[in-house]
Amino acid sequence: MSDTPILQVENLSKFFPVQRGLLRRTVGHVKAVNDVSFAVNKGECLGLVGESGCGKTTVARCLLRLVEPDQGRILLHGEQQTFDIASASRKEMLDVRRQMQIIFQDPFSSLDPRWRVTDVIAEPLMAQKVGRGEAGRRVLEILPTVGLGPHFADRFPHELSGGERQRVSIARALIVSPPLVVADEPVSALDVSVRSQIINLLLDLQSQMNLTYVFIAHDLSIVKHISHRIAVMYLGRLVELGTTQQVFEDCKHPYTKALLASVLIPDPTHREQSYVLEGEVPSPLNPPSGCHFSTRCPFAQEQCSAEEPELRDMGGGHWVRCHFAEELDLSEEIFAPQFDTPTASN
Amino acid sequence: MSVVSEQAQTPLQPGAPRPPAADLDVSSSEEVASRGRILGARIMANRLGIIGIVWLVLMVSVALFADFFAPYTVDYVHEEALRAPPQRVHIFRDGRLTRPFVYGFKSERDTRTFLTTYTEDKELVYPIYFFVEAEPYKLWGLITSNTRLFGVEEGGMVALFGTGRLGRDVFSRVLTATRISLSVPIIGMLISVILGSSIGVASGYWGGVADILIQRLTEVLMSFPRIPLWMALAATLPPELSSLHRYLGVTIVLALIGWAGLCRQIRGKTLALKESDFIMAGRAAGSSTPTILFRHLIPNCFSHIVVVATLSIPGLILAESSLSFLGIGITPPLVSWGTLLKDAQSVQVLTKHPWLLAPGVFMVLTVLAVNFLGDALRDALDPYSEIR
Ligand SMILES: Nc1ncnc2c1ncn2[C@@H]1O[C@H](COP(=O)(O)OP(=O)(O)OP(=O)(O)O)[C@@H](O)[C@H]1O
Ligand code: SF4
Ligand SMILES: [Mg+2]
Repeated sequence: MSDTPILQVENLSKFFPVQRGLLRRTVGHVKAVNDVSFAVNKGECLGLVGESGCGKTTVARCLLRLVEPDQGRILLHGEQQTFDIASASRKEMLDVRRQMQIIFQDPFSSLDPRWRVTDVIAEPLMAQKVGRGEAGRRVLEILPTVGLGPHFADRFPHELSGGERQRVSIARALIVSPPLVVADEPVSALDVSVRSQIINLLLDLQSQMNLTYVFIAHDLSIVKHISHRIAVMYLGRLVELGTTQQVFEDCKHPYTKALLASVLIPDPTHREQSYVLEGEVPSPLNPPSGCHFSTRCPFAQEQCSAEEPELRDMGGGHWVRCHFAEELDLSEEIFAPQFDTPTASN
Repeated sequence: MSVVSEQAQTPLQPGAPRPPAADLDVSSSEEVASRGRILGARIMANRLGIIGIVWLVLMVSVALFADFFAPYTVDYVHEEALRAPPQRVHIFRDGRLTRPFVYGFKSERDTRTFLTTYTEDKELVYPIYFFVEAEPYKLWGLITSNTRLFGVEEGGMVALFGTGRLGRDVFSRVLTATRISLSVPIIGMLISVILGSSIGVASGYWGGVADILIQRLTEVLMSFPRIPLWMALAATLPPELSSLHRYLGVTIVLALIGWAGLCRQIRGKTLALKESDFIMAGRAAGSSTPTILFRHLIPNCFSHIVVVATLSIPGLILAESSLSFLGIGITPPLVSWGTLLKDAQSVQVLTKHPWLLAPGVFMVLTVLAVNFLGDALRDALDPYSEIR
């Protein structure tokens, strides 16, 4: 791992128009991603965490230009050339796709049900105009790397288990040997029993192939063991960014603290979203004024709902978006007592 | 950035053994049925579907080899037997099994009503021979032949479905009409499938203003009552057109109205599929738009297209027949079930000459058969239905 960035995201925004009625009038925008900036260094794994609906998938899709970003630059420092993905031409995008690939959240819907495993895995190669024979050979080469036998090549996706499908998905992403891989919740749709296998596979592959990951997850427990740095999102905004150590041992944002509280509970009946944060996640169509977290934050002051805090550097590459980041003492288990109430352990 | 090297040694569940790759392929030895086999099994499990298929196979073979199956040409006239009833085929003569034969007719004219009634004349025996030589014809306009499946000797007659107003053999005419009555709907369906699915896929995939315009157009097309629309369009075909051109014209008219429904269905399917992860994955892989459309999107719409297309055929059969019945569709010398039914317009037919309704019976059976097949296909392609 080095300090040279391979990917720089600057002020990335994506607003989805919300249309109503016969004439499809735009009545508002879902600010799925709002002014997000971060960098990913060569060889590291950046964890991107946040509750469902906070815009993680949208970030991932913007990174690969699967949705058109509305604003911002996405700089990919390739081997020979630097691309701005947000404005790259079609031809440049083909180069980009050789250097950055994605693993999708849901292995059941991300494989075309009518394609055989070989064809699925070979798709990026065929797009790069690699010949059929060569592609088939490389598919057979990569199958054992992701823990699949050669006989899987002729199967259809519906003949595979969830874990096997996700291995196919990983093989498809890695077949063009991209230095950078975006993994969008690669295990959240899988059975708990195979999650660790897939995570371990991803870790092995990272060291074997010298990969850089942007690893998306909705809870911190998974990211803890594999990320070097962690970015926390809330309602389309980046609220905290720091090394794994900074985030786990010295987090400065109350929302991160809440996420951590949910991680630390040993009770296995507690599922991802059951940490007790008061109130619902506000609608991204109408985020609260000022600090988006102010409606649920136990430390909220008047200033919080009036004025939106900036993302500020706390030193050592630790960025926090909170007015009171310096003053707040988050060392106590502020969210913990609530878990002792019987209603919390349903 | 720190904290890295020790992380790799911290597995998610400490101590959880990593299974070797070989243990993962649990289902490797299992026989996995292919998609096609499952589909075939599902269709075969549907009794009505099989009946439909059998009838349609029969009708298509009849259409292809009508000249061979029909004992007479469409215009052959039995001068002595106008509106004669169907002849029964006998195989017993004087209590002994013989080669199949029919009796000739004895005619009697009712002096009050001027109606001729026909009864079997036991003296006139016309044995039926198979693979007989009769009037020559050109199969598909290419192969000249004069062999017909069955017939009687010169001077005799065989009319299994009776004869019409001018003494023409209804059986031969119904069989020959199958060609037009099936080919117009099938060709019309193919044209409307090509139109409907390409417009539907394009409209759904690219969206935008064109999409909105296309959708309004299809709504207008679909909200018109069908029959007046067909009539209006068919009436624009110039009357001096040759029979063959008229046939093509009618086919195109039907297709031009039929594509709208299919277009909307395919557009809806495209809209849903466009956002699906595997299309996203294809784009992330770098696949070109043609690859996305022709290898991902259309194959995944295909079963839907097949079902919708099949279920559109009955409407086209009825449409062609209606137009021909009204005299603005197929014109002589070509015959379709609709033109044949023109002979059966009066109430008298129902009471005195019911055999003239034979083309209608064929039409109803064919419409039912196509519906059975369409339903069977839909059930078979539905991923949630169980094999019964
Ligand atoms: N194509 C779209 N059109 C309109 N709104 C969208 C679209 N895609 C996402 N959104 C909205 O943007 C917001 C962020 O969605 P996104 O899928 O990025 O969340 P996520 O963090 O990945 O959630 P999850 O953990 O459930 O996957 C959501 O409110 C979602 O409804
Ligand atoms: S700015 Fe205020 S509301 Fe927002 S996180 Fe900080 S203390 Fe809470
Ligand atoms: Mg997501």
